[in-house]
Amino acid sequence: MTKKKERNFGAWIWDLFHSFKLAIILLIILGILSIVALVMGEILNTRFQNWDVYYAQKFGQGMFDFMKSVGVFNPFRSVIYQFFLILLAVNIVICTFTRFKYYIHQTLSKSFRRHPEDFRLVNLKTTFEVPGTSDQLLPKIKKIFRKRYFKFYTSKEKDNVIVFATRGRLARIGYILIHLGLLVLLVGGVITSKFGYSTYKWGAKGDFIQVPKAPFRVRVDDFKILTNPKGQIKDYLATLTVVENGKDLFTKKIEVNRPLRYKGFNFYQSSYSFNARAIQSATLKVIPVNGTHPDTVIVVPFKQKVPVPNSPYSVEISDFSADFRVQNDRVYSASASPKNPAVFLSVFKGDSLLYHTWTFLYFPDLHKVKKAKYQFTLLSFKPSYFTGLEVTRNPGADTILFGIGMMTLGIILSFYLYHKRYWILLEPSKNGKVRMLFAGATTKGKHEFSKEMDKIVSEIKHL
Amino acid sequence: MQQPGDVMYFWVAFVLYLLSFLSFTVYLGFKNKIVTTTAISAMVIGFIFHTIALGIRWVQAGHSPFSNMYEYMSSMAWMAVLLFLIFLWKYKKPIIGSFVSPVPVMLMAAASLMPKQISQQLMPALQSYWFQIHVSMAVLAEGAFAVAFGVSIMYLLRKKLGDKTNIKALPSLELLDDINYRAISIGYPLFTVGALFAGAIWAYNAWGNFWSWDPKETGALIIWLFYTVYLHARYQKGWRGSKAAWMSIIGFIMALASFFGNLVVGGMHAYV
Repeated sequence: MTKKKERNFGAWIWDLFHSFKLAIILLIILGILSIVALVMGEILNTRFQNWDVYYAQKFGQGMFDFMKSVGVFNPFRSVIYQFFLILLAVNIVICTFTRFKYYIHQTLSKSFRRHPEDFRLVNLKTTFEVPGTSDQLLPKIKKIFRKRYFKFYTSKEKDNVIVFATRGRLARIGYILIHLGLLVLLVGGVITSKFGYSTYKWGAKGDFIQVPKAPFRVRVDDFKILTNPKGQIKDYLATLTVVENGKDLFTKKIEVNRPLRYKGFNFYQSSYSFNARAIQSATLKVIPVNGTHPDTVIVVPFKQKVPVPNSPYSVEISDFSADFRVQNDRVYSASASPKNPAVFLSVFKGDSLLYHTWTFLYFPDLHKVKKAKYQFTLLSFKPSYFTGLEVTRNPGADTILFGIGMMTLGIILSFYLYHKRYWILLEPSKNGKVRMLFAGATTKGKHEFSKEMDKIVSEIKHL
Repeated sequence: MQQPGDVMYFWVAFVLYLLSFLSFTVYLGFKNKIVTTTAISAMVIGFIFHTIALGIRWVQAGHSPFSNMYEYMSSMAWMAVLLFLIFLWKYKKPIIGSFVSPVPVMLMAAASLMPKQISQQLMPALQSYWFQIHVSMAVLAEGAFAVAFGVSIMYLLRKKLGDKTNIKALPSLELLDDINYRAISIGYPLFTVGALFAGAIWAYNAWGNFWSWDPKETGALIIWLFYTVYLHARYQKGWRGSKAAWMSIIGFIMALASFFGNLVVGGMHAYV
């Protein structure tokens, strides 16, 4: 008794997952869930820093934990959304594989619906008589179909001849490709979300980027912001070097839309920020105190010794603070904007250090070194930027791309090819005529198809 | 800032579309040859001016005309007109124009309100050939959905009025249903491959992730799910006629909502 019931239930489940109805219902449910998720994502926005702290304060920790566990803050990764996605995937698997045989049969089989009984099943059909015999007419009919790029088959049954002409059979394969492609794509997505990651790394010139789980390191050699003459940003350009086993392996310039890919890890130029502790170069005004020479202006690249013209001295800038502050004898930058820029200037005579001092952009007289033969004032500086790199490991990427390829090919085949089929049953009639039962079917484009069929019929009638 | 040279042509095209739309409206009541000729030729000449406008913009900007709302909407209207002219030529039923011509007129009106400066400097993220593929196909798809929308309204009206109407020129329900399906069959593959796939591949090239549930992405997914339902319901359950017309109307309204949502929501597509 219970056994029978179980089997019925199994059959019911099978029928359910085998049905288009379920597919439609699941698509609608996923659509509605997506709308809900979209609206929720706008109300409970998580696109800002420390959003979790904010909402925990707003709703209380207990409520927040509950909401988080239900997936309110990340609805597309919630159990309910994924549950319906899995149901859809199962539905697609079952639908595709059970219909697979049917589609393959329709695509490859010559004998499909060759039997005259099946003519009843076709919607478009007509009967007429043409003078002549089957043997005389067949080559001409074949010509009519060949002209339209149809495949043409004939078979005999006693005195009757059955003609089958078909075109665009690959359209059937298209449906299979679309659905299998979607599954492949979903599998790729699962692989990426389980084994991949995406993280954000900042790096200034000379920094090493720590890449989680990677057997190599990446060094930032340079980062530039290119602008056009109007000052609009043209490009962000970062130069990265892959370092493996202590050796520089190769160097690549990356920009937006041109990432560095190595061993399944990807580095994307994604953003930038002002570097508060380094500059590219500073422009200094050199003022000889005794007045023997006129003032000169020199450009000093960061951390490079530059000789002072017409003198035995040289200068170096070895530190920078955008918003100068000191605490416990340690210099730091109070903010990431150049509110009070200062450079740490060292003055050398030959190789020996004479003195060093912080020189300020807005307070040139501060920290003035008395008795020095030259005074240095900071005129301007060229800022240095951190590059913001999106570092990702996307192990499902190739699978996803393959799925996209399959679906695209499938869409092209099934949307731009129409599977058209014609059957003609030729029976000998009285008065040296042949009676023809003419039937046609198409996957879509009924309007054009019936026009084409009328044309073919009239061509055959006038043979 | 360079003076955009296309704006005058744009306005001429707009005025001609408007004239065409008015003539098509008159056509509902007076089916005569002068009205038909005016309506169709205004549409065709308008289309030529519109094409010139987009061409000038393309040349002046140095990139395809999809980089701001004005360009995007103008392109979408262009696609809707192109499809309409194709259907007109194919089915030879000018009455379709009475319902489809308001669509480009509305799009042009919306475009005309947008700022029209040319930005020659595309922001770095947009400097990719995937940008051209992604946006051009999305524009074409939405143009096709717009045509389906117009035809669907016509279907419902025709059904409601039945045969008791003075508007004798209305095409058969069957033909309207067929055009609706046709337009969606043109739009759906373009939308899938262009808006979703090309967009995902571009995102992968630019940011490392195919999909990040950005509001616009989610919106596109919802629209895609909806038209997918339409196709499956039609194929398997034989949803035709009114049901199909309603779905087509709702689908296009969702596409518009997602489109104008840009102005409110922000996210990755908030370039303009």
